[in-house]
Amino acid sequence: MSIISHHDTCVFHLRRQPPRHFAFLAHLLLVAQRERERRKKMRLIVHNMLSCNIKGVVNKFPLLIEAEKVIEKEVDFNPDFLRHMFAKIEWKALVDGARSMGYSELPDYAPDTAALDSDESFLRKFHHALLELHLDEGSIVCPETGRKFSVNKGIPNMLLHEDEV
Amino acid sequence: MWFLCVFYHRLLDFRKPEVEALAELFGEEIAENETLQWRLPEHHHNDTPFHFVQLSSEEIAQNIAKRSILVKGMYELWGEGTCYEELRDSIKSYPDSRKLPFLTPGSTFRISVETFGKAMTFDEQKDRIYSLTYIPFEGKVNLKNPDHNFFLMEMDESEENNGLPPIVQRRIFFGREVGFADRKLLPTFQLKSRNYLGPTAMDAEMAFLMANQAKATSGKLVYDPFVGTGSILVSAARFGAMTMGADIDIRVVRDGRGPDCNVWSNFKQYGLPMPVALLRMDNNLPPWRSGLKEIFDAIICDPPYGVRAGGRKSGGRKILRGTVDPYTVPEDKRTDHIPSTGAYSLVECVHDLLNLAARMLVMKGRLVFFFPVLRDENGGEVKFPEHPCFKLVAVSEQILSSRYSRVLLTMVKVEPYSEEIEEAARLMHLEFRENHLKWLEDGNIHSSVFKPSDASQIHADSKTFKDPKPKYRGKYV
Ligand SMILES: C[S@@+](CC[C@H](N)C(=O)[O-])C[C@H]1O[C@@H](n2cnc3c(N)ncnc32)[C@H](O)[C@@H]1O
Repeated sequence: MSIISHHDTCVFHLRRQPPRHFAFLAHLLLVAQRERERRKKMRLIVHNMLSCNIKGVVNKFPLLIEAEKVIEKEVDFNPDFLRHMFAKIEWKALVDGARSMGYSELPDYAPDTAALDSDESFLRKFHHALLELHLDEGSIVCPETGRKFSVNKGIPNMLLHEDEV
Repeated sequence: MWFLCVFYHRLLDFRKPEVEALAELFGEEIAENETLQWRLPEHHHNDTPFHFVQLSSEEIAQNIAKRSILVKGMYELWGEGTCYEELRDSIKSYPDSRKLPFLTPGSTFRISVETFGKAMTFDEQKDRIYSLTYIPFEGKVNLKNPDHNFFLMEMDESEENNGLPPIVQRRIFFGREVGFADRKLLPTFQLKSRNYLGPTAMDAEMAFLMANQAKATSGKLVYDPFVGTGSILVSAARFGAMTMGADIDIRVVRDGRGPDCNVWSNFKQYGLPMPVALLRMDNNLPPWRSGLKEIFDAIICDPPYGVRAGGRKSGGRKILRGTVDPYTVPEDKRTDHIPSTGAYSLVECVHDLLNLAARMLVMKGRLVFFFPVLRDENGGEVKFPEHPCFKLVAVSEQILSSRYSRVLLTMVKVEPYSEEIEEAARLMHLEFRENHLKWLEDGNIHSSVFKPSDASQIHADSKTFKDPKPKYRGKYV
């Protein structure tokens, strides 16, 4: 966030400069745009909901993550929301997904729901894995067929080809 | 307690459902199979802006007014009458214990005059205010930021128009304001100033109404399966909800109009948290993992109806008909391949939506969506889609043209999802489809409803509600 707003202010100030700076300015704008692009990436919360729905595939979940680059971004901490999600999450898929994105602080087995109220450090880790790890360009891959679903500009493309439906 | 609830005179059919949804959101206890209690002022028609509603506390009334789009204000009524003598008697007989705490010497107050359907000069207003000296005001007047706001509302019998009965009769109300609406939201969020727009982007006022019907609030997860430019989710995010959206059209949901003009940037524009996910997928063939259920608190959408904004689903037309085998995509072309799609009928689209909602909504979660109808002059009853998991709690019609309307349906999940229920739903669907197809034959609704031109027309209509000779009234406004 801080990097981005930094670029934003740069651009803002430079806009007032005389036009001979134009090429440099355009370059900075581009950098700022790329930086903004990075803010929105696929997160594990949605990875945990998706499977490969190609006709006939049996072993379709969880999708493997091929991460070219992972970014972390702070997201508001909302314990109520996390408690609601905790009950719905496939724990192992979350742990493995987080690992393949370079984060291995989650316990292998989901703790008792009581931990959600008593153990804030656990809740923070869960929050981080679920919402703050963002997959940069990459793919999620069907464990059975190897079919790659690309993640581009933060958006997983789950649409099937004609011969897959 | 009864409160006087004064509405803006627009989208009449949406007014009470909004208050009812918000009452629930703010903790009003409503018994099962019951709704809020409403009452009309004497001789007023249901389309009047003045209604009485029963709520258990002033705090709830205040919260509703603050969050509402169509409530102008909520008031504790101190007196009413058809003339100023009657008003005086009525105010005098209102218990002192209710009045005196708001008239104390240390407090500040303001009295405003409001009229409906009549104009009043400044001097006339002053006279009206000075006629209230029988109320023992001991505080100081403060016009800018008073502790207590009092309102005197006066209306004369309205004229008949288009052969419809008058909606208000001569009446005067005096009351203390308990809460009022923040319409500033609307200019800030209006589509005109929206960064990324599409032909079917949902107008800001309607998007907020939809988010209110869905009880969107902090800690909840709201999903739009036909997200388009994201305008419905923007309103849910404004009310604090987490959001998630999907669309089949990659150009709409991913590409937008450039790096800083897309669904994401519409959230950024208002400093709202980004959706937790945006996906490209087909709601006819959703990729949810098996076992996933009850994850969304609300589903809000404007499904694809009509020709230009019509639905598509995976598989080409010929493939779906079975006349050709699917084209096998060569290995080297697979990454950039754009799969062909076939038409997605309204009935099928709604069926998939109900199934999605039945499975993915939490118990008591809400499904809020638009449904097109043919207006029937003979007053025949319209059949809405049904599902055994859902109870229909609100139906709000917005008329688009002389023949077509769209209806905002609000459904609440009352039964958990199961395989038996899915089977029952399939049967209900077949019956609905049968009836619906018959009904479509004379309507050709696909080509007529939800054309963008219709949408812009509603917009224009709704702006002219101050027109002295409105063409429509009631839910037609
Ligand atoms: C009426 S528009 C919704 C517009 C949106 N409310 C907005 O504010 O921009 C319907 C959307 O549904 C999408 N759509 C059509 N068929 C679909 C399908 N089978 N699955 C998912 N989305 C679909 C269209 O691409 C279109 O963006």
